[in-house]
Amino acid sequence: MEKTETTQPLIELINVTKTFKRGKQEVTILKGLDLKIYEGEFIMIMGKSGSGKTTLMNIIGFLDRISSGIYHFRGEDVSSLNENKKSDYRNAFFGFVFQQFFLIEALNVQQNVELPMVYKGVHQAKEKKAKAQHFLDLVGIGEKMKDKTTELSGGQQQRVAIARALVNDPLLIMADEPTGALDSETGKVIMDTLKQLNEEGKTIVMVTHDSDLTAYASRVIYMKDGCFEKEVTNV
Amino acid sequence: MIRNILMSTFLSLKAHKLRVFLTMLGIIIGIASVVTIAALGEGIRQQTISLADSTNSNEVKIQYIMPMSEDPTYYEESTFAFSRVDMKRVQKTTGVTSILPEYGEGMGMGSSIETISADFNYFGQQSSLQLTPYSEDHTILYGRNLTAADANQDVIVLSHDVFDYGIMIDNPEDMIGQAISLNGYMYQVVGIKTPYDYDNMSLTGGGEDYLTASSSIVPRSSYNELTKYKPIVGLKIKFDENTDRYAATEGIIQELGETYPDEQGTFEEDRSNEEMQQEMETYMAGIVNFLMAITAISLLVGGIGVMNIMYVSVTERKREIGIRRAIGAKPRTILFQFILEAAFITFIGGLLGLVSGYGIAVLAGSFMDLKPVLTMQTILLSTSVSVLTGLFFGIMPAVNAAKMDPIKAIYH
Ligand SMILES: Nc1ncnc2c1ncn2[C@@H]1O[C@H](COP(=O)(O)OP(=O)(O)OP(=O)(O)O)[C@@H](O)[C@H]1O
Ligand SMILES: [Mg+2]
Repeated sequence: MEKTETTQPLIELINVTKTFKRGKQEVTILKGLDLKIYEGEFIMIMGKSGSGKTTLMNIIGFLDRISSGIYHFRGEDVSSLNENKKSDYRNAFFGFVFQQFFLIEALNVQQNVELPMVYKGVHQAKEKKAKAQHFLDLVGIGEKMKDKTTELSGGQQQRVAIARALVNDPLLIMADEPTGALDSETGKVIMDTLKQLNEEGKTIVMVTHDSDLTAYASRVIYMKDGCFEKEVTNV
Repeated sequence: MIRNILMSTFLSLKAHKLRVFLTMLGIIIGIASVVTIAALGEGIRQQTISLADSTNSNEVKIQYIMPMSEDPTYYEESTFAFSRVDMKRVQKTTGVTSILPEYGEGMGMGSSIETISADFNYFGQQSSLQLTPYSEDHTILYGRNLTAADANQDVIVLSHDVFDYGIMIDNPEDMIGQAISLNGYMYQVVGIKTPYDYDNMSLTGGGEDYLTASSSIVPRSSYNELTKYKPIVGLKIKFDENTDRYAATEGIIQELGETYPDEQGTFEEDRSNEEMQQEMETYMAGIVNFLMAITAISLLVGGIGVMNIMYVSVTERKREIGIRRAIGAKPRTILFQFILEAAFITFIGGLLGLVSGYGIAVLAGSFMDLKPVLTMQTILLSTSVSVLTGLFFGIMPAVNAAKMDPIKAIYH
């Protein structure tokens, strides 16, 4: 919430670019971004489709790498981290809610939600189950524990994805349009949950198209064609 | 962590039942076809071998060969016969497991006079002996002639000729009451005939008269028994596996030569079987090469099948790999999971392939009157090739995907 220049930012991007190869052509999607995110912030990223929001989220979450520039995560240069370290950081610090949910179809709802705990090294089946149950209850689909993910509606899948993002008690929640597939009522429940988590101290970075939601954020960043167009800080 | 990975491997296999089944099916078919062909092939091979075995193995035949006559139109019939004593002696040679006599045609046939020749042995002094059935008209020098009461007894009246050539004994009379062996059977000497008067040899009766006169006498029953005797013209000797049959045969031949220093002929190994065996071996080598070619081809086909299906199934799962990595799986954790999965699939598939391949071979064999043989070599070769290709292509794409940035793996 507060943003004092003296504290170390959780995330710091300096002149970051991202280029994709499209056939023989190179397309620059992120064009020299500077961004600092501090612990406890609730950041919303808005912008037109194709402006590079998801690409930015992927870079912040170590899912993709930058083409140039510098990315510091809690003061560490991310480019110096090896795959194992990045895996551990993803597992411990990040909770992802992907735009396309990215649930594993082979696993049922419970197993999907338990997976971050599996990779964290939680052994107790009871503990895993209890946590999965707790977070599925929180997003309102506690009764779907044993269901196949493919038999759920889009909104239900999204909520499974949210439960999975929360289950390891991450430092940061990266949510790419977490309410995109939800009706406004369920969307509000999710937003309230995120707000609650933010108030408990979690940093949240969220992409949305819904300008009605900007009120939840402490800071709103507008993107256009791979650049930050403007930034609004809510008081 | 291991338990977690085992668990998630199990879950993943369970969740992908159809794909696991199809992958396994590929391996099963691959291994089964190799095993079927190899087992049938081995069956054919062993059948042929056992056929060949009945004529060879570590076995030799020793024969007595007459010396080459200088006159090619003249062929002297061999009169030599091996005795039971020879057989016993050879039997004692180290490495010999069994010895069988090979009989020639009987002797003394085709003549109106009843005489036969028999192997004679008296305390190691060997000779052959002319025998005639009992009749009254023989003059006796020592002991007595046979009587009707001697029928069915193993008794003999010796011709005096025996002492002229054959047996060296100072006083022939001492032979009375002694036991001698005829063709290996014991007879008691009860009498010795008066030596044949060569000076008064009847000119009309010719050799016939001489033959009976110079023969030793046995009871009719013994004579009949002895006429069934056929001379041993060859010794079939079997050696145990550890014996060098060439060296051993050499030794036996040398020993036989020393036993019969006066024989004109030589003892030789009969090599006609060996040639047949060599022919058989060439033929077998052909079969084996052919089978190896077929097995290699099916192994290749099976391996490519396994490779293909494993490769596809892992490639299809790159998205899953990416997602798992995104939520914190380390590359090695992913790899371990895929190794376990591939190992499980290929192992179970390999086992089922082996069993079904053998089953098919037995079924096919029953139509062909052939007993398929599953060798350890077949098992190891077929399973190791498919298991290794399965593991390799099950793991290799995963190695790649596990190292990628998660988002790349997801959108491979
Ligand atoms: N792996 C990739 N290879 C090539 N181009 C890519 C890749 N990923 C994204 N892009 C391109 O980058 C641009 C930005 O994509 P991105 O997904 O970040 O947009 P977005 O802002 O999230 O859009 P939306 O609101 O539709 O989700 C798009 O033009 C897209 O085609
Ligand atoms: Mg997007």
